[in-house]
Amino acid sequence: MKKLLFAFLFLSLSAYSFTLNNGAGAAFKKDVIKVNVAAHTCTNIGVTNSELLSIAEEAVNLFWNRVATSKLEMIGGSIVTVASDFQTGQVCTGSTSNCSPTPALVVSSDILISCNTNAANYSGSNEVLGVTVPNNISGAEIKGALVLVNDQAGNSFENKPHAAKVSIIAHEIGHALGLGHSPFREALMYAQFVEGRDRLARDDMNGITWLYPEEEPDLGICGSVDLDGHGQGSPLSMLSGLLIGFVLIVYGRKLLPRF
Amino acid sequence: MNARLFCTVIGLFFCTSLHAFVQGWSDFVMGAGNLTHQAGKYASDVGSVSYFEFRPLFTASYRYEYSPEFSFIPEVGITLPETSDDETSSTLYSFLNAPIAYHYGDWTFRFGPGFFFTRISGNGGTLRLQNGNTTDEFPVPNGSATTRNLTWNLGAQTNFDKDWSARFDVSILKLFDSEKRAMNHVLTLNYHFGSIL
Ligand SMILES: [Zn+2]
Repeated sequence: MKKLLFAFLFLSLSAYSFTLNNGAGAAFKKDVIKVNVAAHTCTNIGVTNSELLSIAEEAVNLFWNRVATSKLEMIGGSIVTVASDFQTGQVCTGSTSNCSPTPALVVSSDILISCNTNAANYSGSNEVLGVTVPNNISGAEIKGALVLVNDQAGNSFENKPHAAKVSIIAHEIGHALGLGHSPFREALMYAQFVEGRDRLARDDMNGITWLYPEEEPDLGICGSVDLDGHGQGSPLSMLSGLLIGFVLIVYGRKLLPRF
Repeated sequence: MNARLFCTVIGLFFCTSLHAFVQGWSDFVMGAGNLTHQAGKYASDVGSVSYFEFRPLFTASYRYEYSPEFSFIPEVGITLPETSDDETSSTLYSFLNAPIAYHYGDWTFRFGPGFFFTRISGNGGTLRLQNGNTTDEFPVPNGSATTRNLTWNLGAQTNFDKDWSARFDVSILKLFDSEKRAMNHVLTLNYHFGSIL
């Protein structure tokens, strides 16, 4: 398992393509993924928990919910009460590239965002904005992922404008979904924060499409009855179309001259 | 357009296509051109988008004639595979369209549904990239994923002479989803082996 750090500093690299954060190519398997926010009070990030939740909602709607070739659907969740370890604990032990998740910080389902003051999570640097670990992976399925926002005094997140905070949280959510870093500067998943991001780049879209590929038509639409009651289509629609088509074939030339 | 109407159109379409098919084809067309994928949708640089991108595309279609004015023109198209700079991953786009066409003078207008496929393949291995204030090995995807999108397509073709035509097509993905909705566009030069009209 890998610990993913998002930095404010600059380092140049040549161009490759999107990467993953785990060798299994793991992704969430549920239809709708929620983003929850931990209830404890954050001291140094400059936003309240409810503001952080609305930033997360903006982040999924502005970035991750916009990929036509992906089935991914994310929503804002709720503010949840969690153990104090989430505020002060270390997300994992071992090296950054080979981290063993701390059991107390394992997220049981969906994505949890929590502010956290433990310097060890950010390699001791206030330039690291946050760290994300999908710390509940079973085979190729991510069951839960933890996003920690650097809440130490003097962190680089606090004084960022609102739009920047949205793109930073969106980047962390990208890790929670299973993506690693991208070498392309225009990509949201680029390893450094860049001012002015307002949408995904092709590399981000390719990554999320690879992890969460769309397969239309959804059987719930035309072919079958949707048991959840969420379907908008009906098998009758398809049948009525076939019936009209059949009538057109048999009687078309009489009904519609020159057709 | 709601989902009920959408399903009716698909059903109707299936039958009329079958009708045209049994009548036999009157033209076979090969085309070459360019596909722009999700125009204006993603960042080509931070804070900017592009509405045109270079991507070679090849198409082939048959024309089945309903009447002097209307035809059914099923078509396949495929792009050249795009490989990332280090050849660790590649992307391939293809489509199957099934438009009804209306002929007017030297012009043909077409409308109909289709499928758009995206195939993204990775060769596995790792890449060393920045992570925080150090670097780290990140896994490259191993294997491929293929997506399938329903599309609604609208196009116009102009005929230069008996054999050659040019066409511009717009293809909408996720028509009913205001956030995911995206538009591909295609420009092709076509050679007609049969009767252009
Ligand atoms: Zn990152």
